[in-house]
Amino acid sequence: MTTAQPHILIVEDDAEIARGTSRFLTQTGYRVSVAPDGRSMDRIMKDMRVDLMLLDLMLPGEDGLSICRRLRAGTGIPIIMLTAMGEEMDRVVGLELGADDYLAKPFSTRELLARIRAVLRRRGENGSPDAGMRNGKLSFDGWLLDPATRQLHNRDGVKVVLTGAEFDLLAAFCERPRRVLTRDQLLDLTQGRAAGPFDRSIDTLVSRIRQKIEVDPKDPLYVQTVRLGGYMFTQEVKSS
Amino acid sequence: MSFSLKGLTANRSILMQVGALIILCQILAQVGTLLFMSWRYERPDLISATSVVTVQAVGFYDVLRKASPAQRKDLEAALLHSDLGLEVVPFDRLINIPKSFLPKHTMLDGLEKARPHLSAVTSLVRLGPTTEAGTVADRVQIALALGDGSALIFDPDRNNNQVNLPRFFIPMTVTALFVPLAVLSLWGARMLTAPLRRLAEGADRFAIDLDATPLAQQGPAEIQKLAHAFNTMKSRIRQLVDSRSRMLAAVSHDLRTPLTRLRLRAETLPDGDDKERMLKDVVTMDAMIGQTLSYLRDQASPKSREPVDLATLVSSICDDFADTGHNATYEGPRNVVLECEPDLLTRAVSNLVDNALKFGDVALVRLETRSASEVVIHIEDEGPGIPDDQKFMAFEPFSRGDAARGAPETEGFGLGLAIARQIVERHGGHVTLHDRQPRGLRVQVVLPVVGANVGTSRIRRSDVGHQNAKPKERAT
Ligand SMILES: Nc1ncnc2c1ncn2[C@@H]1O[C@H](COP(=O)(O)OP(=O)(O)OP(=O)(O)O)[C@@H](O)[C@H]1O
Ligand SMILES: [Mg+2]
Repeated sequence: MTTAQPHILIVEDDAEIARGTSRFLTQTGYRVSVAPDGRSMDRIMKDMRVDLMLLDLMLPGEDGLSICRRLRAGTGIPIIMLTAMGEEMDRVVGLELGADDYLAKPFSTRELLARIRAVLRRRGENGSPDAGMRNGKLSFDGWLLDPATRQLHNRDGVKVVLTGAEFDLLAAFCERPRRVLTRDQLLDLTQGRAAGPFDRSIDTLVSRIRQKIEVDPKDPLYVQTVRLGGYMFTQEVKSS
Repeated sequence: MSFSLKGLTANRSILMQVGALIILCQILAQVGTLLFMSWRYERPDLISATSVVTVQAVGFYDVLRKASPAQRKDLEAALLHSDLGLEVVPFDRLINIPKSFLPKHTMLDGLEKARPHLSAVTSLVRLGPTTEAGTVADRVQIALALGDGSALIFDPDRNNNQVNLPRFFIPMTVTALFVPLAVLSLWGARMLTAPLRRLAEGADRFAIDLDATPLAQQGPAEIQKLAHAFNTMKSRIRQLVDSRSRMLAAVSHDLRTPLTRLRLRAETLPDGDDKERMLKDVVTMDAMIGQTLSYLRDQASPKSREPVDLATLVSSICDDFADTGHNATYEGPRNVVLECEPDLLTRAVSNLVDNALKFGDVALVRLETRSASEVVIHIEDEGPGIPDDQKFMAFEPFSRGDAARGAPETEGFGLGLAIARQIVERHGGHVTLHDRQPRGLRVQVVLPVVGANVGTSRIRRSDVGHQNAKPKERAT
């Protein structure tokens, strides 16, 4: 990562939304450019390095989904999709096309900032952006975890539903298997989503996850407690 | 009559009805014929006086009376060799019995009436061969006295006796007529209803998939017309659905764009009551747009089911509410597998939990597998509940009860229950409202389990896997 502030490109046709978002992000300390459509986006990308893109789904000319597909094929720029549809279908489609995250309009700036930080950190951590775990599914002991669609399937292919925080925590475990992770580390890894006033402690989340995925939550096999240390995910994780 | 007929035809296929009708007609026709035949059989006077045997007998009688003795000898010999059933017998071989003793004496009356010149008609019993027990009466015949100590006898039932009417008639008609006709009529009815069945199957496919191939317009004229009507209807529904999803997308986009602007603008305001209230309104409006859109959209969206652990789905909803400061609890098994549309079910249950929290401060959610074919979700609260006379209305879209009106935190369109019911019914289940003791409302969602053996397989199979895996994993 460069020492300079990350450069964010907003591709959004509504001038006021673009202006408002851009002002907010600039105040927060990012460098921001705005493009009202796909063509001017291409022009900007030719001249400047872009660290992250906020991409509106409904654009005049080439729409957001097709831009997303095109960018994914060429570059590894992290993309956060913005859409007004707010529907699960669009989210899944967007994420499967390779967007890193998804934000429904009308979004709050707090939520937006949290997502941007999470995506940038994830990308920074994984080094080469294309090798990001975002697009690969993870599997352990027959279970399948898909970070893109945020879905978890058990050994029988049955969908197991997790809350957002639970999913983030399990994903954090799966990305760092067989390592002791302290509660603070886990907190850091999972605070990407906006932290609310009622956020549960890691212990609560772990015990909920155990209820959902362990055969015997009292004698856990997957997520084990390490005395005085924290937790460890015991399974071998394969990515595909 | 019409009532019982309706009862008979209700819920039965046309095939069975047509088949049954034809078979019933046949049975009636056969019984009628049988009755008529046996009635005739019971009235031999009607046949015998004019039957071939009688006519022959009377004819021969006249000839014999007029014949010379030489001719008579020849005639008698000829009769013996013929199989006409006529015979000249000396009188002493016969016993005269009074007409009234004869079971079929009416026949004699008929004969006398028909042939008035036969003065010498007598009913006689011809004696059979003598046995140890004595001489036995052979059978009743009719003798026409020839006036020379002998008589021409004949058996008026000769032809009829060869055919034992009921005993022969029933098996014969059953095998020769009834069975082939029944098979034929069932087959015919099947042929007739086949296009109808194909039509129904085609229409069924429409219900699931509007892009299914159009119905073939073949078969009887009425069916062709119906198929055509179905195809037209389908393409019109298709158009409606398409234009509606375009409209929904546009509305959703056009409403949320200004809402996003509003929110961004509000967030730049200095902190304070105004800002808080504005932001809250934005959230409420967004939720209302979302509710309306999902109500309109879910109706038409294609079904896509997958096996889902319903227990984790429901408990995640409760946890999500609990994590945002609400009093929502889950109670029930850890795993219950159900074939369903998880996003939609999540929305349905969320709406119900939202109501419980909004109107009753707490949401106590219980999941229960009532049988192998049914799971039940109870959502209870401790609020005012809904009076019986308003329970039905509560499900209507855009209907909001007294409790909801006026209270500032309870803005909504009145779509929550309507959406929940729509989704649950789409899964083949139903939602009902009940009073909870001592207070509050209990909403009960019953969902049928499709793919029966899915329910338990996970736990069993996982168990096996883990028992094998555990020692190995522990060792590492
Ligand atoms: N748990 C409950 N306790 C008491 N009344 C209820 C409860 N749930 C629903 N109702 C009544 O039924 C009405 C319809 O409920 P519904 O969820 O459809 O609409 P809403 O909650 O008012 O609005 P929306 O869900 O669209 O935000 C409510 O307005 C309320 O009067
Ligand atoms: Mg409601």
